[in-house]
Amino acid sequence: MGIDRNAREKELLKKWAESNHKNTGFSHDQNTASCFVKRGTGEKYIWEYGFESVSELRDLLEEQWEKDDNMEEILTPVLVAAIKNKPRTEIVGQEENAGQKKSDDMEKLPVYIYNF
Amino acid sequence: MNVLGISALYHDSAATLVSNGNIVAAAQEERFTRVKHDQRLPKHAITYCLQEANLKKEDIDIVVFYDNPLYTLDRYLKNMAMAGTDSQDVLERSFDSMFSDKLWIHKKVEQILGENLHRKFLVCEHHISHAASAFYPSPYDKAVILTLDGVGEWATTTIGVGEGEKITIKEEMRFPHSLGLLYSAFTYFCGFKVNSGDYKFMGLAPYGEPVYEELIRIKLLDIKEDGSFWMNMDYFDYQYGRAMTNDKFADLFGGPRREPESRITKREMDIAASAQKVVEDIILKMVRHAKDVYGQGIDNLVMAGGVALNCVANGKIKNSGIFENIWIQPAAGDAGGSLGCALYASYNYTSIRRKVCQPDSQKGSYLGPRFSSEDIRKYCTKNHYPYHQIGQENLYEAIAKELSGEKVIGLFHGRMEFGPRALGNRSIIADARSETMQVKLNQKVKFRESFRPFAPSVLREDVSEYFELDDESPYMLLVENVRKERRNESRLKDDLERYGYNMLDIVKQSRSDIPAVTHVDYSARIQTVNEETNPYYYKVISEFKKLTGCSVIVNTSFNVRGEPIVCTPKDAYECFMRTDMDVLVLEDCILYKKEQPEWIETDDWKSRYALD
Repeated sequence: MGIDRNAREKELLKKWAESNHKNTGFSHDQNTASCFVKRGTGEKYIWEYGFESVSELRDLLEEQWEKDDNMEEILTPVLVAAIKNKPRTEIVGQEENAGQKKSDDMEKLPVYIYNF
Repeated sequence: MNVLGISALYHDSAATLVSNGNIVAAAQEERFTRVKHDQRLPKHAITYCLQEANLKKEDIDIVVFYDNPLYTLDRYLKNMAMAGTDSQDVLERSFDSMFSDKLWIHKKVEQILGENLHRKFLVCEHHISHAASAFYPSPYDKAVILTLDGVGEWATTTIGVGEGEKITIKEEMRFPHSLGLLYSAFTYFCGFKVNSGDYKFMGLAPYGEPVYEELIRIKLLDIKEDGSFWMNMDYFDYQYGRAMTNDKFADLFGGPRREPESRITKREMDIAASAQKVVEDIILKMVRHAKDVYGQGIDNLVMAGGVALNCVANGKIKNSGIFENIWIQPAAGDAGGSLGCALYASYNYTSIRRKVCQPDSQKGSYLGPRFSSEDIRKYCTKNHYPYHQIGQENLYEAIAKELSGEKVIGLFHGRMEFGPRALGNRSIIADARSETMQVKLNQKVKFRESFRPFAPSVLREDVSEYFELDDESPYMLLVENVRKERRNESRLKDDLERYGYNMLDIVKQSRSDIPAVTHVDYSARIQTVNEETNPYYYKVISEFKKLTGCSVIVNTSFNVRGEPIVCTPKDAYECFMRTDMDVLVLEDCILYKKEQPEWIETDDWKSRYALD
C-alpha cells in the first residue's frame, strides 16, 4: 500500500464532518403535509463552467456557499484536494494513460450500492 | 450550432449530438467498450457522434455535462456531515471521483476534444437534463414533467412544467429520500445487483403477494398524500457509503439478504410484490398531485429518470386516466441525460427554437451506429463466414419462414437503439406462439434466470387484438395485460405451492395463445411497431402474420446476460456463435448456424461479462 497523497485533506474533511454533524437530512417532522421542497421562480438550471486556478474555484465555491456559514471552514481543504487532483493536461499522452488505468479500475460499478 | 451532451461518471455514460435543435446521434459508451453500464467518460460515443454528423472536434460549439459538479460536491460534503462520526466510508467511496473527475469535468472533456477557446463548456442541473429529455422530444407543446431517479446532485424527484422552450421545476424531493434508492435497496436485499438488477426485481413481483406492504409503509416510509415521502434511514446504509440496507432492515424481513445466484424463495417474491405495489402507489399519488396543482388545462405528462423505466408503474399511470396523454423518454436513465442537457442548452443557451414533431422527435430512438450491406458483406467475406444475400423482395418472407419454424433469430439492421431496450434493430426475435420458447431463450440463448419474461413486438394496428391496449407503445415502456379471451386458466398461487416455488415449472405452463410473451400474471411489456418508424421490422412481422395469422413476435435484446447489447456485426456474430441462436440476419444477409465454421473460443468469454 502506497501513501495516500490525499490523506491530509481526507482527515480534515472527516474532522469537519464530525464537528458539523447535523442529522437534518435523516430526521423527520411527522406533522408536515409534504416532503416536497418548493423551487423558486426564475431559477437558473444551466451554467458556464470551468476554472483553472485555486482562486477561480474559490470564487465559485464562495458564491455557492455565501449563505452557508459552516462551509467556510471546509473551503481550504476542498480547494487543496481539488488542486492536488487537477488533471495534468500539459502532458496529455501520459495523463491519458494514467487516467485510463484509473478508469479501468472503476469501470465496473459496485454491486452493493447505487453509484451516486 | 452543434451541441454535444455528455453523461458520465455515475453509470450509463453516453454522448448525444444535437445540431440546430435536431437530435443527430446518441449512444451509450457501454456499446463500444463492451462494459455494461460503463461510467467512464464516453470518448468512443463522442467519436461516433462526430462521425455520424461528419464533424470534426473543432466543429463542436458547446459541450454540456448533465450534472452540476459544484452541487454534487455540496451534497457529498453535507452527506458526510449528516453521517458525522460514521462518515469514513462515504468519504472514501467518492473522494477520488469527486476531486479527480467530477470537479474537473471541463478539463477531462478537453483531454478528449482538445483545447478550443471558442467552445463553451456548460453544466446542467441533473434533473433538468432528465426533464428536458422527457419534454423536448415529446409531441407536446405543453406538459407536466415528472422525473424520478436515484439521486442527481440533491434532487431525487422533481415535478415541473414545460411549455415551448421553457422548463420550470416547481418542486422536488431531496436525498436521502429517494424512490430510486428505495427500489435499489429492495433489489439489493433480494440478491440482485444494484445499478442493473432492477428489471429482474420488477419481473419477480408477479410471482409474489404483497404481504409486506403494510410493514414497508409503517416501518420504512411516511408517505404523504401528494406522494412525497420520508424514509426511515435507520434501516438503510447507503447514506454512509456502504451497502443499500443494514442489519435492522434484514431483521424486519426475517433474515439476511438473499445471496446472489442462490435460489429465489417465496420471501423474495413477496418482497418484490410488496415493494412494487408501494412504488406504484407513490408514483400515482405524485402524478395526481402534479395534475391537481400544476396540470390544470394540461392533458400531457412526460417522464424520465431511471424509475420511469418501471413499465408496470407506467401502465398503471396510463390506465389511471389522470392525464390524457403520456410520453416517456426511452433512454430514461442517466444515458438519456446526455440528450436532455444537449437539448436544454440548444433551447435555453442559444436562440434555437423548438419544433414539436409528431409522433415525436426521438426518431424511434434509432440514434446509434449503422452498418451498410456492403460493410456486412465485406466483414463476412473477410472472415470466411458463409452468408446468403437476399433481395429485399424475399428477405422479410425468408426471415418470417425461419421464425415460424421456431428458429431463434438474431436480427441486426439499421441504426442501433439509444436506451436500454432493443426495438428491433439489435434484437433476438422468435415465435411468440411457442410453448417452449421462453425456457429455451432464457436457458440456451440468454443464459439468464428462468423466471424472466420476454416482451412482444406487435403490429401497431393489431395491438388491441392481443392486448388490453389500443394505443402506441413504440418504446416498450408500457405493461398491459394479454386480452382475456386469449388467456389459459392458471392458478399461480396453487401452482407455486405445488411446485415448491420452483419458477421454472411455472414458466413452462402455457398461459395464453402467445405464451412466450405472457408473464405469469398475464402481463406483457409491449412494443408497438409502425411502418413509418421502422419499415424493415414492420415488414418482418407483417410477413410472419401472412404465414401464421399472428402479428406478435418475441423481441429480446441482442446480447447474453451481463453483456451490453451488440453494436457491430462482429459483436453480433460472436453472440450468435456463442449461443443457441439458429439464424443471424445482418441487414440483407442471412447466416445459418449449421453452415458456419467451427467456433473456437480463445478465452473464457463468459468471465468478461459479469453476471448482472
